[in-house]
Amino acid sequence: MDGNGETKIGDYLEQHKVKLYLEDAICQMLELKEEVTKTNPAKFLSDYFYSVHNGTHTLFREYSYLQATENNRKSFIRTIWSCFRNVATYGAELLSVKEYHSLISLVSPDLPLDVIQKTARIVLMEDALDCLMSFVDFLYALQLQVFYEEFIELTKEAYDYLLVGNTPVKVPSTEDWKDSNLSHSRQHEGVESSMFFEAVKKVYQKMNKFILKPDLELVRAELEKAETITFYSFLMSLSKNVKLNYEINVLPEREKMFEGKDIHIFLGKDTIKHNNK
Amino acid sequence: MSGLSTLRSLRVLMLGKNRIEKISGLENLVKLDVLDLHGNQIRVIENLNQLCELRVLNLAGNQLECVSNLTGMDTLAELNLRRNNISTINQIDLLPSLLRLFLSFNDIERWSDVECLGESTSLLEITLDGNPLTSEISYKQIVIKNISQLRQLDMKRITDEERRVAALMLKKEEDRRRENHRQSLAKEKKRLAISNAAMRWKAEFPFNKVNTSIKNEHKQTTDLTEENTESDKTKTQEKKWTDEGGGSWLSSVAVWATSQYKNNLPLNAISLTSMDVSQSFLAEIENDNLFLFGPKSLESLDKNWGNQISASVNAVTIQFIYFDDVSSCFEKLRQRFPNITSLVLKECGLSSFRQLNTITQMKKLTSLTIDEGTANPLTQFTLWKYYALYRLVHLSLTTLNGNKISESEVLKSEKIFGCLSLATTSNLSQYRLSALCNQNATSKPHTNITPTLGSGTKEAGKKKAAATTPSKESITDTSLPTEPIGKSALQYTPSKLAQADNLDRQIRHSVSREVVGEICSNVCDIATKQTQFFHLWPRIFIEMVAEAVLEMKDTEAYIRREANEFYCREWNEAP
Repeated sequence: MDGNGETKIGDYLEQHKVKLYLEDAICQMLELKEEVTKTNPAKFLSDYFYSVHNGTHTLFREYSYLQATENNRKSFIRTIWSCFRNVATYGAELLSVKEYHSLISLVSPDLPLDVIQKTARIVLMEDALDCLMSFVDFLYALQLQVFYEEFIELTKEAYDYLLVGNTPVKVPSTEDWKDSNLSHSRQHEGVESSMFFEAVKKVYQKMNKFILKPDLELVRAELEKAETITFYSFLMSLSKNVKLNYEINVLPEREKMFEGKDIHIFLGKDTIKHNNK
Repeated sequence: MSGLSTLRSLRVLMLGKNRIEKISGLENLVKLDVLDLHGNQIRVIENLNQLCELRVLNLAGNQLECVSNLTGMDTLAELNLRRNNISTINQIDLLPSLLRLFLSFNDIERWSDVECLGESTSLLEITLDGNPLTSEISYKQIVIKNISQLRQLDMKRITDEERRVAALMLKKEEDRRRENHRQSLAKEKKRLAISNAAMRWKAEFPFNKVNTSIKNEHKQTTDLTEENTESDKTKTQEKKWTDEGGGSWLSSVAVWATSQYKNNLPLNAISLTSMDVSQSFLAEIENDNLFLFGPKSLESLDKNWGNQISASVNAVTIQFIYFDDVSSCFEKLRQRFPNITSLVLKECGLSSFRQLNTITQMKKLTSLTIDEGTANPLTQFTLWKYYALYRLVHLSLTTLNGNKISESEVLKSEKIFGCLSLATTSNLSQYRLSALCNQNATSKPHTNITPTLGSGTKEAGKKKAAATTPSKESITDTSLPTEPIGKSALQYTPSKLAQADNLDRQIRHSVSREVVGEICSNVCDIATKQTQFFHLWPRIFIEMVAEAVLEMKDTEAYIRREANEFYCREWNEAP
């Protein structure tokens, strides 16, 4: 009885990341102790959790914090969208990987370059990684990459495993997924969608329940569209999937990305956001 | 000249105005006191070395061209060499008693040809008139300077005044020579420093093309150094490179400050601060421009350059220093040289938008130039100019990379990046905003709001102010012009600062984890206890009720018992 109770509590705490937020709140209090002592800590804590609830807490935070919870990830994507959507309309349509990285570093100081690089792989499907990307493509791919980071890693492993199994010829012993020595023909062939789906199902069963992952049905629907798929084309079509975007519930639909007044978006009054957080 | 060999006691021999072509046959005339050979055709002085008692020698009006072979005449006091063709003189200093020397109407052109005159310590009187030498501007001074014991020159007494003037001239010339030497040395060192800084930079950015137009900018050099540069530079560069060996920096810095820097003019009012040799760094002020090459030159900002000079500097050019290092010195730059209005960044390795944030510290900036290309990879981004404009236009910037900034560009940059400031004001909590502001604002925040700030921001500020608590409003208002500061979120250099911060952060994390861990375990305990309690409560309740009922079943006995106990309690007696 006791054991169950504890796990229930533990689960609850874990699911809502209570511990993490509390720890971070106290960290922030210590960091800003000059300011905080002028008012009282209770107000600080209420401010903090209020902003967590509103999704405005991730500005200028370190990447490890941004990645830590689902809420944070959503908020991060939203911040990028709201801050930089004007870049696409008034600035330049297409930008390079490095430039995106530099731009996003403005709001997240220690963003690692490889996150952007991985996103670029999705967008460009591993061809010509120096190409310029459009903001819209980039943002949706970034959403996928940030939100479902672990999912992508695990399914990539499964994919690579399948890929190895498919080829009758001798393969290198280590299959580093960043290693672009994989011959192009194998890359473009891909694997059979049904096999891949089976592999993904297995991955889902083994996965830690707290890892974020898209709905299995959605994945199946996506995979049913073609006989064979490559990993990155799969991810790219996932990123464009309207239902998935709806499920994540952060970004508006592609067509409506540039609509709406800036100020409304920041005050949270935009009508594009659908249902409550 | 023969037949004189028997005249061993001869004292005076007058052979003037003959046609003697060669001096000879005087071997035995060792007692000779006066020898007159004037008006002959003698070409070479010779065979006089044995005349060790000779006092006067007259060789005027001959055809001598070079005077030498004067050894042995230890008593010679007067030497007449007028009206010859003499152009060089040697060995005069070997005549220890020579007092008077007449060299009028010869062909002496340069003092260097008659240098030995200066070596003589006995010479008291000399005539040099009628020589080309006398047409030199400082002929007298030269002669007086070189023959210090001279009493008469060209039949005129040498006054003390003249001597003084000569001495002064001598000193001046000495000084000037030393100064020129020092200057050229220093110039050479400078070039070396610059080229070494360039080498260093190249080594770290091997794909870079170093901007060699530094040479053109330093065109203000004398001819001397210009010549030296080409040939010597390569030699000395190689030499210095091997000297550096493992690439360890020399710890000293060469600092060279001049207020006026012109060619070939004597420099007045130079304030040379330090002449420690540096091999790879240079900081110098030249025509109101401050140049900084190489990372350690930033240390020279600590030195005292003099108030006048510091106030006159209005531009700073930085090359071969990583931007991160530079940015930590902006505050110092601003304090030391308060009138800087132009910033030129050459090879600085500027690579991200965030780094531009630190330039806001240069409050009076009107012109910003960032060299394009691999020198600063940032310039390869398409949006860098707009971001620079957006972030820095409130500093009254008018020129960016040589182009005047237009209204439309400013508006465009505001449109593109305006959301960032919206995000800052709406997202950041009051605490974080003020913490960031305090971190940056060492001075009071700017009070002038530039009119080109997009109206969107102002509206946003007002709306937001209306929507939130009053305390937030005050911060929003004052932070409108300093909004960029809130956004700057400090460019942390990826070295000491960031590491120190990380350490701090880790400590804080562990502390908070402990606290929260405790809280959580307490909560868990309490929660389990609670559930347990709720689980057991019914049974406990029933037991309590049962107990009470049993107790009170026999009313009489119960009353008696309770009363007894009561009495005992009151009077402390045993029941």
